[in-house]
Amino acid sequence: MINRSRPSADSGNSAVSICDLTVAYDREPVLAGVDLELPAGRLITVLGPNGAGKSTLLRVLAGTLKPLRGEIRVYGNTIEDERRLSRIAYMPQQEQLDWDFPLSVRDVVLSGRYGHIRREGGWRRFLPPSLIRGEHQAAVRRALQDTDMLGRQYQSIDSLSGGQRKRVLLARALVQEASLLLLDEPLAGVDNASEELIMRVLRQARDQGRTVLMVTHDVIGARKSADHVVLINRQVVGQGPPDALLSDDMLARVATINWIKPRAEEHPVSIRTGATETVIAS
Amino acid sequence: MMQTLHDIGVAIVDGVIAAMMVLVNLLPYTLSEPFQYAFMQRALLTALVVGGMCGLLSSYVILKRWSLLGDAISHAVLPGVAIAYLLNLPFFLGALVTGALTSLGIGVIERNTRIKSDAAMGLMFTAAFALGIVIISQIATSTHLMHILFGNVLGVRYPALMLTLVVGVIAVSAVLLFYKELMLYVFDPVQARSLGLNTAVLHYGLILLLTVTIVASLETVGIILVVAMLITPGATAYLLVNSLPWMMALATGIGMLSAVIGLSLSVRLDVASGGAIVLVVTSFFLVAFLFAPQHGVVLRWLRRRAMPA
Repeated sequence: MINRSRPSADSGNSAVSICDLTVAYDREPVLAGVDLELPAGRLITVLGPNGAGKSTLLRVLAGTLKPLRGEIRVYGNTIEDERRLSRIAYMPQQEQLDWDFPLSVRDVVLSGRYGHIRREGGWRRFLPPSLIRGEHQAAVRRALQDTDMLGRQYQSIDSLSGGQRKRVLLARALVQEASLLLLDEPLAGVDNASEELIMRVLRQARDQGRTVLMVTHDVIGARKSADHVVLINRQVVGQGPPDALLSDDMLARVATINWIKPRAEEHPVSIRTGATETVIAS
Repeated sequence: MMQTLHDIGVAIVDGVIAAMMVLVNLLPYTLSEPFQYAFMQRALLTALVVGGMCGLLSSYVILKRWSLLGDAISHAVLPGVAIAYLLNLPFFLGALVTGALTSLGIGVIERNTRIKSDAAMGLMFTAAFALGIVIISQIATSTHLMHILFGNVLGVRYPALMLTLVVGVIAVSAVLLFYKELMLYVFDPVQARSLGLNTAVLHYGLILLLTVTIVASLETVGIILVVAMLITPGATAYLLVNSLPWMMALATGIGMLSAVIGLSLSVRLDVASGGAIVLVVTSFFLVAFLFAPQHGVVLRWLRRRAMPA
């Protein structure tokens, strides 16, 4: 029922293939020996308790955090190569940003195109944002339209609500037209209307053939909308289609047995062994 | 060779001064009158350039919360000036080296201990400053020290003025050419990195830009007061506008205007020019603090009173 197969060398159909990934802040590993294959063109949700390493996984995939060990391929290439081609877009949690910054919605979304503009080379890359060419402006317009922020494009970001801030960050990720979208808690603290809009945009991106990888606490939302779910707690605890993986029975077991395990476990491998045994026993 | 270079420099400076004086002479006589002397014209040009480039960079300092870092670098410049004097090197070089070393040292302490950045900065810059004071107390008179600490814009000579002009041109062109990169780095460094920008280069480039600006401002406002020019214009503009390009333009204008008004007042009232410039820029801030349309306290208070209870 649960796909726990080891990653294979063939990554033809997978968007992300991770082998033996270990990440540590200071000494304590946040992710230890993670092996993971993620299918391309799907809406994938990563679920796990606080401190499970969900955001860490995203930041490694976004190339902003160097792992201690492990190999990662995105569409068969290194993260560096994919990033250089602007094929990975990352949406952070909004708390990381200073929303008093004197920028408009449009300024922020346009900044998502800076990677593309740099790649064009030549003297145009030095132009100020107001002189940036049509194709980039068109991409910005589309992203603003999709996230329903076009009407507020000249509004200053300090006047936005929580849901609107999420949508701005989503638009900045969308405007990159990347094939892998990484979203850190895109639904945290937004109202129902914004949540529906964000999920609609993400499904649309998926339908265009992009891979959407989002991190969340929201089990019910994940069950409703994800194509594929990954349970993680410093290790991959399990993965598979949501119906199977997120049955009430299974969740109860994962929640009580695995997620409450203390983080300061000496040998992280034992967590996985425990989890596997539990899962098999069910 | 050096002589030709020097002559070319002098010619350029004289040209810029001549152009500046055309504008100054448009002012009413009472305002332009002190600037009939050559030393006053040099002082005015230096003050304008320093005020402008400090104002420009002050936007980044405010938004990146680097006020204390600016303070640290400016103090750390002192031992460099002293050592360069000892070794008979250009003081610019020494100042640059100790300024850069101190900002690297701050990073080393921050990364390798549990000490946070504010303490690391305080620790490093006071140590560097102490070293500078000790060396200077051995080699120079207290007048020299006073000039380094508090500036002596009326005594600016050609080499210092040329240096200031060159740094001004570099600072302005760097900010114009890399506006997008710097803006994104200051707003969201993580996103900048994920878009493939080299954030280490941006980080140290911005610090280097701050350092050369501080060094070039030494003669005008001095080490102690340059921090004010790196904070106050940006803080004032931040209260007045809500767009980064306008904030930077306004901060630059406020810096230049304060420098000119402060310089005129210091001559008229016969007080220290560095202090006068800083007091003028602070009064700009006070006006913005009280009367800024959106963020000023007076209008905010009026708006709250107008609201139905």
